[in-house]
Formats: sequence, C-alpha cells, structure tokens
Amino acid sequence: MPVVSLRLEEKDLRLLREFARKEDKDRSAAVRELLNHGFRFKQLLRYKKGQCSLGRLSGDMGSTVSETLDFLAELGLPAPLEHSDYLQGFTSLAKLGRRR
Amino acid sequence: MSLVIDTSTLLLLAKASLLEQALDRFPVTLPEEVRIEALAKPSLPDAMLIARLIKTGRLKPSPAISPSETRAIAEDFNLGSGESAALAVALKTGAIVGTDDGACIRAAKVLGVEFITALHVLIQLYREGEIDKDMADAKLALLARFGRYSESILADCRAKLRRR
Repeated sequence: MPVVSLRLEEKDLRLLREFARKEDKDRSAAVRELLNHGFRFKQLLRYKKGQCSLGRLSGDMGSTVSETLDFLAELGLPAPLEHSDYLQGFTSLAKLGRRR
Repeated sequence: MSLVIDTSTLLLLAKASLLEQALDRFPVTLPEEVRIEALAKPSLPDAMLIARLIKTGRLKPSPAISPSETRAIAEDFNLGSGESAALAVALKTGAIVGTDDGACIRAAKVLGVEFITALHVLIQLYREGEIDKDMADAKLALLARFGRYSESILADCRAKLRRR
C-alpha cells in the first residue's frame, strides 16, 4: 500500500484517534474505513438527489444492483421517483400489449 | 407495444415474486446488459430465478444494441449499462421501458421514451384478476420495501388496489 502524508485539523485528528480507539483499529485502518464510508455516503447522496442511477450507484459502490437494492431498503433511503412520473406511467400502461 | 425491462424493475418484480406473472401477462424482453447486471452474482435468489426464466425461454432477449448507442446514453444521463441499454432498445424498437429508477425515467422523458414501473405491473395484474386483493396488498408491501416509493405514490397505489 502506498504511504501518504496529509494535514489534519487538531479536532479531526482527535476524532480519528477516538474512532480508532473505539473500533480497536490502528489509525491507518481507521482512516481507510472512514474514507470508504465517506465515498459511499457521497455516492448515496448523489443517487438520492437523482444525479446518478441505481445501476451507476451499484457500479461505483462495487456491488451488484440486487445487493444495492437490498442495501437501500435497509437504509430506507427514498427512491428519487416523482409522483407525476408514476401517474404518467398509466398512459404507457394502457398502450402495452398482451403476451401472445 | 412490448416492454423492455431494466435491472431495477426486473429485480423488484423478482423480489416481490411477481416476475413470473408479469411475464405471463406482458410481452417482456431484456437487453443483454440487463441480463449481465441481474446475474452478476448467480448465487443470489433473484439471480437464480431470472436465470431459470431465461433458460426456459420465458424471459426473452431484446434485439442487440451497439455499445456506442448505449455508451452515449449512459454518459449523457449518468446511467448504468442496463438502464442505458433498455433506453437504447426502446428508442430503436418503439418499446415501452420498465424502470423504477428516477434518473432513468428522467432520461426516458428527455428521449421521448414511454415508461412504466413495477407498481403499474402490480396494478394491471390486479385489475385483470390475476391476483386477488390480499395478495396485491402483500405484493405492494414488498415492492414498497425494496422500491422505497414516496408515501403519496403508495397512497395512490393503495387506492387503485381498492377498486377493480
């Protein structure tokens, strides 16, 4: 693993030490975990705002679409689906054929 | 008109155990990219179900689409490969897209592609007597859990499941 050095605010360093102690991890492992969670959180926010799709979110999170659906259900994160879109779907439904 | 399904609606119908009834009722096809996404982890229960339905010919493949057609849609709208392939097939064949993804629906509206969601499938199966009220309510609860629809959408859906 590459080694990097970076500047942190005193308060962030204190939080990091505290997190590492509570999780019984060394500081590098704690930073890696927090970074990973931070990236996932940012991706979830983008999805929640409708800025990316479920498929794109799954790819970015390294999960299958099925696993991502399960994860979103567990979080209870609302789908970015508008009521008007749902209503518009009935117009299309009326045009759908029947299987022969 | 036929229905080209994306991975979100395919998996929601599978998780709610509505997929087989949907396939009996609607002329559904699935793009290769959706098949790949849905079967990415073959040991998952919904992947096993979908694999069986493909193998037995109940879930039919959509016409092939060139990678450049799907790539352009994916990049323009920040979509995954399954969603963009479903839209590309719909543009090429005039099919309706089955999607429960907000970003995909937004793209469909821009591209002039018609769409429905898993909820529309449930409502139509109920209207036509394929499932009774109790079963429809149970399926709606499952779709609500995995689809995470807004309360206003669910309230409208419940109202539609009260009348036939």
